[in-house]
Amino acid sequence: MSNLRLINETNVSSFVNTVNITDIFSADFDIYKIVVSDTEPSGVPSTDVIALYTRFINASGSVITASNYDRANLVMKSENVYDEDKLANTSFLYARDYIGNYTSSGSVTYIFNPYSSSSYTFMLGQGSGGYDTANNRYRGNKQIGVLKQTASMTGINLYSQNSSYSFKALIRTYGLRVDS
Amino acid sequence: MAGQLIQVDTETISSPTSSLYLSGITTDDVYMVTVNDLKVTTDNTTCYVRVGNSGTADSSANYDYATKTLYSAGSFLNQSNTNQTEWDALNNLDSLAGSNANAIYYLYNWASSSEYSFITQEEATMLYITALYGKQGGGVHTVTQSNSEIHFVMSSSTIASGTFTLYKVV
Repeated sequence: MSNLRLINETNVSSFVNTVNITDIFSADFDIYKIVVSDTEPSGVPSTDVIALYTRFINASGSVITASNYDRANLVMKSENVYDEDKLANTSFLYARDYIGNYTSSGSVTYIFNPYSSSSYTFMLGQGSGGYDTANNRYRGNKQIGVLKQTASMTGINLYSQNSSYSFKALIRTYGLRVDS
Repeated sequence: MAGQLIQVDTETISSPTSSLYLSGITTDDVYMVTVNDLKVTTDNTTCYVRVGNSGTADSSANYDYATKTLYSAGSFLNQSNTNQTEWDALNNLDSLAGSNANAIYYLYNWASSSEYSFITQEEATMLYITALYGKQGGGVHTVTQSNSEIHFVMSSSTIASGTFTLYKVV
């Protein structure tokens, strides 16, 4: 049996600007793999590419909005120089997904220790997508991040940088099983 | 189904140790290694990575690497070198409570005696000044030898805790 275990599959089949995926992190796993695919945008003009943001959700079901996130995100652009997006003590992480006016994007992210009450929650990942047909603006990105809280997290929130723009997506969460 | 992970070896450190290794790389499959919740005893110490066999790390000067380091407190860094005695990894770690280091490595051609051994690295750690820091890139061990082990060796001091796991990707 594979040590990569599917925990949750959330198909966001109607356009939304935010989605909560809860009860995916537990004491059963320490490392999680989140795969986002089939992302479709709605409302994004042909001249724009926007990011999806992400936050963690604690055991009480609350989205963590405190300024306890650090991130370092290399944004690779097809039409321009790369961005080094780096910030400490901010209130969100970038998701690895971008949406333009053209379907679609995808990403793979690993989350470390979200359920631990003694260690910070780290992530690393990469994504490909976001494309505007007016300017041929493509976005690839590679990111690391941390939530500097020693509290148990049980889920993630994925939301649009601009609430006027919405998205669909298929979000699969896997746990990496360690057999001692 | 392709892309499945089969656990080959794991080590959970619960008392301080200066080194450890994972073994069982015996086929031409790709292998994946996870480092989870690595905590160090002493601030500003580094955990290097080497190939090995029979419980012994290869410390000959045959390691090349090229990485892009993502960093929250300064410019991102291009770091490269040739003919080193280890791969540059998990650098200058923070020992404050809460801080820890995590990584995903993929290993290519390690079992082959006629190919160089390659590695890709993705790391998310806390630098000793308590800033987010992580190398992304890879390296090569430029010797045509079979390697059945991956070794983690501290530059000084010890690993306080952490879980290291080797999977075969099938």
